[in-house]
Amino acid sequence: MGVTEDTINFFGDRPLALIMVTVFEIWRYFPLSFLFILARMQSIDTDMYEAADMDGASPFQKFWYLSLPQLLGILSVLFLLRFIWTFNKFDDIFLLTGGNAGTRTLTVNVYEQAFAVSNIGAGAAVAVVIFLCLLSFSVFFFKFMSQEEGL
Amino acid sequence: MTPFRRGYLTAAVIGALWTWVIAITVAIAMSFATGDAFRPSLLQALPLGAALGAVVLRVSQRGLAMAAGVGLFVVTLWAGFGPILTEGVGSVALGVAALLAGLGCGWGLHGMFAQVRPGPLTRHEFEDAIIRFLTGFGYIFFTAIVAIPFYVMVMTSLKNQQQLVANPLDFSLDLTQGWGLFQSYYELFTAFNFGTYMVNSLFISVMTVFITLLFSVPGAYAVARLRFRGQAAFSRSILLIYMVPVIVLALPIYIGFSMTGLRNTLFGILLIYPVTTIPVALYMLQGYFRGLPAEVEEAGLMDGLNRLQVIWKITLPLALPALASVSLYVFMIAWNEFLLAFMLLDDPSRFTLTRGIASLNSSEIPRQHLMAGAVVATVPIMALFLGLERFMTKGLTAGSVKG
Repeated sequence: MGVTEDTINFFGDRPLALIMVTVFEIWRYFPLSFLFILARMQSIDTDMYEAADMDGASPFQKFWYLSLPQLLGILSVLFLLRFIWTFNKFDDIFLLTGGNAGTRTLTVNVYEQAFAVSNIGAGAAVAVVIFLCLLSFSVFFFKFMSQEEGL
Repeated sequence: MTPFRRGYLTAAVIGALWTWVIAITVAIAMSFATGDAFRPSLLQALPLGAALGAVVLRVSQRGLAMAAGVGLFVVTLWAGFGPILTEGVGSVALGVAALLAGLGCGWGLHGMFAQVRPGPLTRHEFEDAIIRFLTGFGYIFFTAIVAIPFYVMVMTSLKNQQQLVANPLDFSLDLTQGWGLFQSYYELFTAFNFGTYMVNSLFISVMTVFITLLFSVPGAYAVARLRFRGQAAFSRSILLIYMVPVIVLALPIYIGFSMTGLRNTLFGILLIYPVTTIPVALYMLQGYFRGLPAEVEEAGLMDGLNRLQVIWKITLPLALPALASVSLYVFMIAWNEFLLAFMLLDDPSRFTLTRGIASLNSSEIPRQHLMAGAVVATVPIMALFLGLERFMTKGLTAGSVKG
């Protein structure tokens, strides 16, 4: 399309591979968040919008002052959940880059240590580290959840 | 913001941006459809689009607006400049591109300017135009990012080796081959045993659904209805397990299965898939059960049913939509599961589809087979989802959203 004449190695070059993996994750999981936000949006009371119309609020004002505060709960829950899930993602990254070019996440490292290097002990150690990270995230998550009760 | 809210200024800016969007869309669509070089020229799209926007603002009929767009782009493209640049493209394709771009721009802009008129605009009219522009952009953008990968996948699977080597970016369809188009699918099912993989996947997925429901229905009911010590902790630990990554469990499973000889057997896979799906099913079902009225069940208990009978005769019939969506979701997870199948299965006669596709991903096997395999794995899920989409979207968010 005339953007560049060179070949681009999307999954082999150092900064680009990480960006592409991130873009892929966004592409793959935006519909899920989409669904959750849509479901929450449909459950917002329409009376408020009618009242806002009476008061002469413009479309963007309605979104900013009515929809967004209502969505805040589900947005924050989604933020945390997706953060945790993506942190734990293995197969997408493994299949895209095999953990090369600066995309070796903790989960890919478990596989590399245990099966590529055949050092199951080291792999298990990394798995324990992941589990500890997850535990700290989930403590945060549950503390937050009991305030929000969104999900 | 007030100085910007002038009719012509808004029309010109939105016209330029929309022409930009349409130029990119048409260029990508045309080069995918024909395999020729179409290139959007963003610099030339801006002034043309701005002019078109201003013109469309004066036109009140939609037909006239579209005619203006088509006329402008036919003339400019024929003259060799304009929003889409081409190299060595036939005049028919060029005409089609101009027609599409003109129709898209004229139709879209006319719709966006429903409340815009020359002169100062109120905040309402201004924001209405912007929202209409964003809506149109959203339609195109989301359709594109969902459709393009599937299009590339299907088209690549229909190519043969020479075509792929000659131009891997040519996604047009060569219909003269007739049935030869499906060559890679044929080879997939004969030489690569994809029939077996598919049967394996189907068997495992269906069994996983049954096992999961068997355990998660009583579990979810207990969490949702019964009072017992540690109920809250139990309910939360479901979510916690839901969040544990499979890779953490995969190592112990691998070691344990190796020692007990369960590796490489479908039975072992059937033991372990429900472990990953039961928490999800439990979580979704308990949300739904909570939403059911407890009074009906209490009435059943008063009439002398015991708990199991209440679940069987009252709760389950009421929860049928949730059961359907949970089954579908579990089926999808099991069908798409990759990591455990990848680690635990080495024997090609026991591969699941995902494992089979991963085994195609090597440099010796041509790419169209990989793509054909991906199509074979995707189509059943797509068909299921499209057929039962109503259940899915409701069930996915069931119990998770409180109004």
